Amino acid sequence: MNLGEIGSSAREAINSATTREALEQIRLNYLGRKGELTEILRSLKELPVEERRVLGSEANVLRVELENMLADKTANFGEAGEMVADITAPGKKVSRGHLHPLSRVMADASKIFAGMNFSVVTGPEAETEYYNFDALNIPANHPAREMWDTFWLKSGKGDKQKMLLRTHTSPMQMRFMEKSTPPFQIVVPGRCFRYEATDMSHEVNFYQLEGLMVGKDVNLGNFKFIIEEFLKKFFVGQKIEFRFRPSYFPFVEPGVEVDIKLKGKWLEIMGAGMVHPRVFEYAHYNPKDWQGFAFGVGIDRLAMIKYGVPDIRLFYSGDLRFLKQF
Amino acid sequence: MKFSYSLLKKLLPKLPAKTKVSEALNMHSFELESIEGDTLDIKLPANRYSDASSHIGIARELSTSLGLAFKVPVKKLVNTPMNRGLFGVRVEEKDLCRRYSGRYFELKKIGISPTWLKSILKSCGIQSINAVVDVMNYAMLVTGQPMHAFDADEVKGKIIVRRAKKGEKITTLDGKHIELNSQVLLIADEKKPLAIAGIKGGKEAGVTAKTRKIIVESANFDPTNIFKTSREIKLQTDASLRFAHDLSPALSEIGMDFATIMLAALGAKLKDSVDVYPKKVSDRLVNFDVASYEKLTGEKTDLKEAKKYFEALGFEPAGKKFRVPAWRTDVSEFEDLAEELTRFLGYGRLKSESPRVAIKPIADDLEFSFGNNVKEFLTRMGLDEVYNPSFYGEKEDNDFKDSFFGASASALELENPIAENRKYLRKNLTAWLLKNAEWNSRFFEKIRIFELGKTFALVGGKTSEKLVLGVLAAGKKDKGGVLEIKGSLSELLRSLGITDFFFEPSGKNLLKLIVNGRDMGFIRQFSSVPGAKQWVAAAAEVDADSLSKMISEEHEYKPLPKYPEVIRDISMVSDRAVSIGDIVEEISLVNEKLIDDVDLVDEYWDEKFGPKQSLTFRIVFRSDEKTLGDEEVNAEVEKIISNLKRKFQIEVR
Repeated sequence: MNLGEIGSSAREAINSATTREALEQIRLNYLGRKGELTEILRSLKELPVEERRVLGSEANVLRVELENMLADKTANFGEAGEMVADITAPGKKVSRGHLHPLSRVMADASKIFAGMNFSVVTGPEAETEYYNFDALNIPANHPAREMWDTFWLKSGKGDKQKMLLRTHTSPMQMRFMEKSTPPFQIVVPGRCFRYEATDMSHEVNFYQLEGLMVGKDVNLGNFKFIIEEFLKKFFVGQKIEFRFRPSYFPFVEPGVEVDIKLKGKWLEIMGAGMVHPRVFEYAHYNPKDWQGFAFGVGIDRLAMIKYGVPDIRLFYSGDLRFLKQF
Repeated sequence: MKFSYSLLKKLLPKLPAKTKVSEALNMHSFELESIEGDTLDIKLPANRYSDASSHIGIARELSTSLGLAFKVPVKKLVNTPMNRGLFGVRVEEKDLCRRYSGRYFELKKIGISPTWLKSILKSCGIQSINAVVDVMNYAMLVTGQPMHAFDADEVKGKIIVRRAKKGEKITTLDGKHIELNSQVLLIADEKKPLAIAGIKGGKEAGVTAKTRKIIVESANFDPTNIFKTSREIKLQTDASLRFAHDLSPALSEIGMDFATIMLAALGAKLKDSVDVYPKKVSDRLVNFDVASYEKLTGEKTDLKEAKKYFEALGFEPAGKKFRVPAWRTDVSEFEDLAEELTRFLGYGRLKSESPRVAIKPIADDLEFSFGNNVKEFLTRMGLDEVYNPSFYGEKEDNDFKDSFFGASASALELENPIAENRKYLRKNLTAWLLKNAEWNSRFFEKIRIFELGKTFALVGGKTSEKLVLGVLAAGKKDKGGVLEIKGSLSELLRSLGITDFFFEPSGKNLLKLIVNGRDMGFIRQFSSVPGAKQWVAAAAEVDADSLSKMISEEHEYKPLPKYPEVIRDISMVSDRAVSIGDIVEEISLVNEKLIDDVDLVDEYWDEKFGPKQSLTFRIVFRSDEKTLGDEEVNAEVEKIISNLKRKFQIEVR
């Protein structure tokens, strides 16, 4: 083969090569130790000087050309290795399971409180009237009870008391205190119920997280600290402001309402306060010895704010188009 | 409760604009729900009606938070004519009627009220009737004490405060006929009922334009009885709302004195008065000291600052204590005063400070941590978590009888369900999971979901609840669901450290899950999903309460296999009546030492097969002692085939 034939066949081979390995083979065929062009270059020394000069320079020009072509084309294939699949195609849809957004919020919230030495406690959803109301300083036939629209159960003969669906997680304050000695700090996540018409922000079942911290000198300023730390961590990455207002719940005194400002809007987020001396008395604690704070925050509400969910009913819809977003 | 801005402005001439008022109320007193024109709708706490369901009360709050001078617009009247016999009062129920004040007036005419008064009434949602009735309502708005006026000519003999007789009837001022029972407290004369005490006046002795003599009532009633009665006869009024919240009997005379001055302005002459008030309430002395305040709130103050706010609220210093007027029914101990001070100092002033407590290891809640583990595990297996309502109806309870409450359990019923199809608390999770399948069949080809939630029942007459794990696999012609659930649950149990478990068939479509010898759950197959065309489903429920108590964290290391495995597939045709589970068991029993695993890798059937089906099993052989040779394995395979032929009449393909 003469130099012209070698050149055109090498160019064609390079142009039609589809893999990096094919190019490597072409390099070997023409420029390798036993390559065709290499053979010609090697044979130059046997030629007369004049011919050697002409052919030599032509051969070297071709060598440089082929080397460049190979380098360019090789670069097109990117990294080493054969192209296994077209990496520019859309990623394959891999299925995974999705934790319910309320589970996620409860787990996140509990984790933040655990980081501040709070233990998680859970309790029954079907409660007695005593724990849900009386022991929390909310007597029967008192209008304060109207703050909690209640589902009452047709209790059985075996029930010692009138049963209801807990209207808040607060009954666990008493259940826990009865079995424990301060100091302690707990959070109680769980499902609660209100007998009310459902709409975008009300559901007959919903979730709350109760908090209770009791010690010798746990004060209202401490509550502020704990709750600010919690909310800052929960809404991490967002600019947040706090506002504390007076509020009323029969089981706290003083009572507090907590608002947060997110994206320029004030939002009511939880009710709280210092545990009422009557509540300590129900738990057989001497109110002179102990003090502390309690709070209740709506899990659904936290989730709605955090994820921008407009309608609380979506959480209980079982609609996987919604649930698979989390 | 509705309040009039212009009336507040009358009481506090320096009251700033509504936005300022709104801010002051929200940050120091009560939540302001809305402002519409002159009307401020204020959310009054249940314990503040006695002092604050009045414009005086709201003005006192605003004067304290805004630092405005405030003078209560009620003068105490002296030398009023008393007990002259122009009318009489007998209170038979002294527990239910804690005070009954009456005053007797004569007047020349009853006209209509001036415009300013009418518009204040309107702002507060009260209709103007005539000058006397309007004064009664206005006095209530100003002082918080509900008032009522009777036409004295229509009152026969004494006013008697007694319980109604069963079946007794009254026609109210607005013409409603109400049948009464013995719980209802009545204001009556010697012949007939005049009013439902503390709730609504009767028509017969109502004040009209023709009335010339009136008896004004300013009484106090037991809150519980008013609360109950008002609910029972389904009549809630401005008066009943206030009385139900426990007004102080001390308010009676404040309201009465205010009304008396207003009536005098209409030309009414006070001729007689009666005050039946057996158990007088008095002011309370309440402790307050700066050190205790600091301990409770973490905030520093001094007595001078505290006094400034307390005095504005009407609490006078009395030695080391403060004298709290009787009408502040909510303030009786130190914590109450601390709240008052904190409100007006502002919660914003409180320092946020880390508590000083000894740390101790946090305790683990079994239900919560178990729940989180299960949820995390199942979502990793590709299942989506759902939350369903805790309520359902009769059908959902009847359709799925499996539960963990035992045979004697019955569905727990609500006394006040939100709807007929939500009258029970759920005893199973399956009913709702199948509804989830129906809904999602519109958007998905198949679904894999689970719920971890409480179920309820009456067991032996006792309310019981149980945490249950529900799993559902469903989809269009998606027959593999049941086996996926079986596989997922098995892996879940293993991950929880539970090894002693198996699934036991009970009929063709039900598998029971036995853990440590106990019935712990089931998987049920459904050949259709209501409302979802061509969908089939499998649903499992597991007694999560009991399971959470069985978990062990012991995962024991097993040595890695020393010798290689040998895999053989056997394809066969068998009768469809033969269950796959039995074949697998038969294969495993051939040589328990050498057969490591048996799995079904292919299953085929179509119409032309008739009663037969085609199956392929993959058998993994492995020895702990040596590398198995072909001949040894072949011998085992031969044995397997001959056993299967003998027992199940299979044919090898």
